Amino acid sequence: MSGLSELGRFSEPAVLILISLAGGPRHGYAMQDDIEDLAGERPGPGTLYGAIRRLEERGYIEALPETERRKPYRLTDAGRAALTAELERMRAVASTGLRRLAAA
Amino acid sequence: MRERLIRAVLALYPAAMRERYGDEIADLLARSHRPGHDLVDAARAGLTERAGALTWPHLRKAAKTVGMLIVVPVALGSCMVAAITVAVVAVGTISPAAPHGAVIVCQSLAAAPVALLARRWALRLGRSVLVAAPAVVVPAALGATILAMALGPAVVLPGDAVSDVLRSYGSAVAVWATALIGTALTANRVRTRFGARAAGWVAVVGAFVALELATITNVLASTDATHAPRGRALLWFPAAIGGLDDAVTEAAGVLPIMLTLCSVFTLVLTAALARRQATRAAPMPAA
Repeated sequence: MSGLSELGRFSEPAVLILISLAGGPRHGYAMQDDIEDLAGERPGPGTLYGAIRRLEERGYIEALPETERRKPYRLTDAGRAALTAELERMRAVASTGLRRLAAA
Repeated sequence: MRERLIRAVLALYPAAMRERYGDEIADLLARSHRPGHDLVDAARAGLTERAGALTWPHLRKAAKTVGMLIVVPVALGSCMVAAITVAVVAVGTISPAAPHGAVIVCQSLAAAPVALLARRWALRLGRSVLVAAPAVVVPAALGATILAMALGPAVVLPGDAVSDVLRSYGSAVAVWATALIGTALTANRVRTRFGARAAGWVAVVGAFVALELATITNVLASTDATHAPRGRALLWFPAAIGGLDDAVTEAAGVLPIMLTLCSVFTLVLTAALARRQATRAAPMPAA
């Protein structure tokens, strides 16, 4: 395993956080709102910050100075590369699955 | 209420994670539209983080602390048996015709040096170990060990010895542990607000109440009203400790003395750990 898949149960929330931050810096509450719109399910605070910690440790995201007592996070270049690789992998898996379904 | 729950959930996280993200997690929990779900989510994540932060030295330290809490009642019980033996031999040597009551009083007095020993161990441990939630963990661990010590011989006895022990000793130890947890938590709170002397008084009164309740529970479960009139229930603990009532002394067995020693140990240890925690949490003086 490599990249985001090594984050275990936090790998799916991690992808959603990276996608959320691809649209610009956000703090935790805004990320929850954005992910709820995106995936139809709102991540809990524990799940969200468990994934944020792991992403920050790997240098995929970084914290910005606090604004209005909230700390926003932004995507780093390494995070952008990891997200691109993960989305391409997901696209390849999805297109293979769809092709097989169409052929069946 | 929610604030208290949030603090309790954050306490599940390792300190480093709490310091780094605690305020942000607390903010989301405070603004949550589904607080129950989010508190459970944060608690689960906190435990995951805590498990992930465990290292071999942490595990070894935790095992050592648990081991010491298990050894303490066994060691205090052994010291008590030795002290009682010395007292009985001494009374028999000095005055072979001493009345039975005098022998019992000497046995109870023999608990004093063991109580001093319990206090000394607790102070020593309070300087060297770290126990999570000591006001809860220490009485619970000691209570479980005392019960295991009582159940040990009962397992090999015929009949309903195990259920008898569970009914009398089990309920008494559970009552003692619950009352002592309440006492230790209250003493910690009083220490913060009113100082060590007030906390000491709370601990002494609370321990006495815990011992009274445990002895009453034990005697109620093991003796009928003919041998132990219920109207004198409040006197059963002093009677059992001082050997003033043969029926009560026999029914209570060594439990009141063991619980007294463990109460001294628990309250001194929790106070020492609370003092140490307060010292660590105090801000550094300006240079």
